[in-house]
Amino acid sequence: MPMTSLISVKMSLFVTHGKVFVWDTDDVMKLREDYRIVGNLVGSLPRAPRQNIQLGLPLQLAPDEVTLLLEKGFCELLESVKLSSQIDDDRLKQFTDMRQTSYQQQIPLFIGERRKEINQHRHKIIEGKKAKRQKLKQDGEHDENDEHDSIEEREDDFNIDDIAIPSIKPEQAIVQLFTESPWKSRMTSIHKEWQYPESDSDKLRYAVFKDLWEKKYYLTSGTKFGGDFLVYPGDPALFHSFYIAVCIPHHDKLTALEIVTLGRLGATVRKTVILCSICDNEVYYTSLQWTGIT
Amino acid sequence: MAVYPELRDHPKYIEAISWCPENEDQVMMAIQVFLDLCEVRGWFDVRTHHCREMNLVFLSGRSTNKSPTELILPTDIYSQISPADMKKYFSAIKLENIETNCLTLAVYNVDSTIVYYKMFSGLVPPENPKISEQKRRDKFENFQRSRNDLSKYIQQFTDERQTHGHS
Repeated sequence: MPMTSLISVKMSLFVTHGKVFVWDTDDVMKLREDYRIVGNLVGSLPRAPRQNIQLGLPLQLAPDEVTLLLEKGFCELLESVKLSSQIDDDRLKQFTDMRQTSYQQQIPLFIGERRKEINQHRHKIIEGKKAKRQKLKQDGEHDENDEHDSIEEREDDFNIDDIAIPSIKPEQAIVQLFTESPWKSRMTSIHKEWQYPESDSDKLRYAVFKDLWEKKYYLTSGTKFGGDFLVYPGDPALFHSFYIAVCIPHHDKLTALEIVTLGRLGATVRKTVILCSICDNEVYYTSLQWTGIT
Repeated sequence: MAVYPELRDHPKYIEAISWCPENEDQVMMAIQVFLDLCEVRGWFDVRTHHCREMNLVFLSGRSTNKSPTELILPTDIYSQISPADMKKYFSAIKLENIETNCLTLAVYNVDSTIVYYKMFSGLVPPENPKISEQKRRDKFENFQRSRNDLSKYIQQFTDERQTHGHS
């Protein structure tokens, strides 16, 4: 159920090259929990970029999902204005200033971290210095006395804290990679020309998607199982899907062999294949199940 | 027991062909499915029926003595069925005392293998995996139980053979 709020703010969907993305984490969660829209994560995780087992933001939405969200008024579509090939000086200065400030702020932080590290390993460092001095004495003269040693030992404690720590160089500073355009406020504009669905097969697909969504199901792409949609009774992370939805125009002929093919597919994966068609402006469903007779 | 070398002499065929004389192929298939259900699958109370609306023969029967009656529609692998046709079948093929949204499609192949798939009007969720597991276990247990007496029968057989000799 959508959360009630005093001000209902429409979530932003961003169009890039005809594909629609959600970049905000809270929006992704809200779409899933409140509106039963699952989408597909297609981005690289910033902290684990060299793998594609777990993908991160942005969430890409299927055209059916976008049309539904727009129709129900939950979201608005935004498109970024084309980047000009010339970088203006003002923007360049802002960028370099930002980098410089960040670097300056990092210097004392790095020094602090380094000092902590040194304190943690102070014993090892002191021992190391002693051993080094011993070695030098053995190699050089042999007239030391105990007093001399103890003075030096006391001096070691001071030395630890006085060890000079150099500042990091600019090329060692951490640089922020933005997962959202920092120039957003200057670039986005409302996009009004979302055309899906246009063709008859798309219209059929969307009608089935909408009808099943209104029946409180969760829907994802059915390509893995040779159908149009996979239909879940609850969140796909918690449930297996019940149905493989196959959209067919109401008067399109299927051979009995094709029906057996679909039935077999469903039986092997413990799902029911549903044939969805539009009859008299309503969606008509036929379910196929294996009888279990061998 | 009467034997019918020609299926066309089988009384059930003769009865069915009188209902739809022009539809010889479908009637022949229907009788083959009838025989399959009766003799091979061991179904109970299998009957042939005439669907006047669509001029074809369909069947009814029960898979076990305690199951509800099901309706079976014989068809061949090349026949073309659209969702609109399915809707027509669901409304035309029915029996007076049976309330069901299920039709079993019996797909008859040229080499006489028959494949059965259930079609339902509307959304019907798959069976709960726990229930299918239970069914499978029950079936296995029944099978085991029927084999309990096997060794006794083998002994009986060998004893009889010995006492009656090899005359």
